[in-house]
Amino acid sequence: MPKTIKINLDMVMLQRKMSLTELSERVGITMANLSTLKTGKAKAIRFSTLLALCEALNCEPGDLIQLDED
Amino acid sequence: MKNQESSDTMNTSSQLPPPKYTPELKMWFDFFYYLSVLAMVVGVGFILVVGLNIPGEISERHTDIEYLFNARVITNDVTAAASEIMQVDGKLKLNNTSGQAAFFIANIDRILISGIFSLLALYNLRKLFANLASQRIFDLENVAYVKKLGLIILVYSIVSPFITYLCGMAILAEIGEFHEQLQLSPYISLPIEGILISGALLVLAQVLEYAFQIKQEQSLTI
Repeated sequence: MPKTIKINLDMVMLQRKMSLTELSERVGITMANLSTLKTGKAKAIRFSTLLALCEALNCEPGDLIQLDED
Repeated sequence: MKNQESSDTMNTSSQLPPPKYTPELKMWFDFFYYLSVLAMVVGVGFILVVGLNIPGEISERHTDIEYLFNARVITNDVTAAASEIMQVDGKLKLNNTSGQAAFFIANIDRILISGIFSLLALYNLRKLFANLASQRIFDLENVAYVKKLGLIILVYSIVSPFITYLCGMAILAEIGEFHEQLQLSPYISLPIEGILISGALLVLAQVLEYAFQIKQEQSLTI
């Protein structure tokens, strides 16, 4: 199986007890795009988006991005 | 962060200016398409009505046939002095022939075969313009329309010379010698411009397909 990059948005949001709507409002990204990120359909993530997510969720980029070896 | 660039803003419709002439061109192509359908229906009716009324008796037939031929005037003492045109390649109208099948062959090729290719091309063109008018530019549908348009032109450019040659042979076989001073032969010409245009369209379809992939990747970049 090829290695993939996984976005752990679900887990970090759960740890921070933050809803998708709240995150969307804080970061300024539409719910549809956040959903694309969460479901792993996104092909790439901009540094600016990553920075905004890290600031809103008070986490490191490494907490959001994970190498999936399955 | 509120003005974070999202994928919603990445679609082509919000980035490109509204089309200037595309809606008008789409309207014209729609008009030409329906006009061609009407012309074809009228043409088929004409073939049937006129063709079926050609008398069975060869001596009573006075059929006019308009088709592509190569014609050469065979000179005699009179024509050598009077005629300046000795060879003609292209559409000729042969009046008062004894052809019946020749009438059908000439008109079926002129109206039906060319008509079907034109309708197919116009259909794809108007669909393409409809998508462009609604600002759906880098779309897989458009790739398919451009590719089909290229293939239609390519097939027509390759097939039509053979059809014209074979139909010309069949017409000449039926009507025999039209005039003792006119030597007729089937017309053949390879439409190189059609092959070049179709090649360009097929390349364009490939470019559009790559553009679609890039656009899709761009829209999935959050």
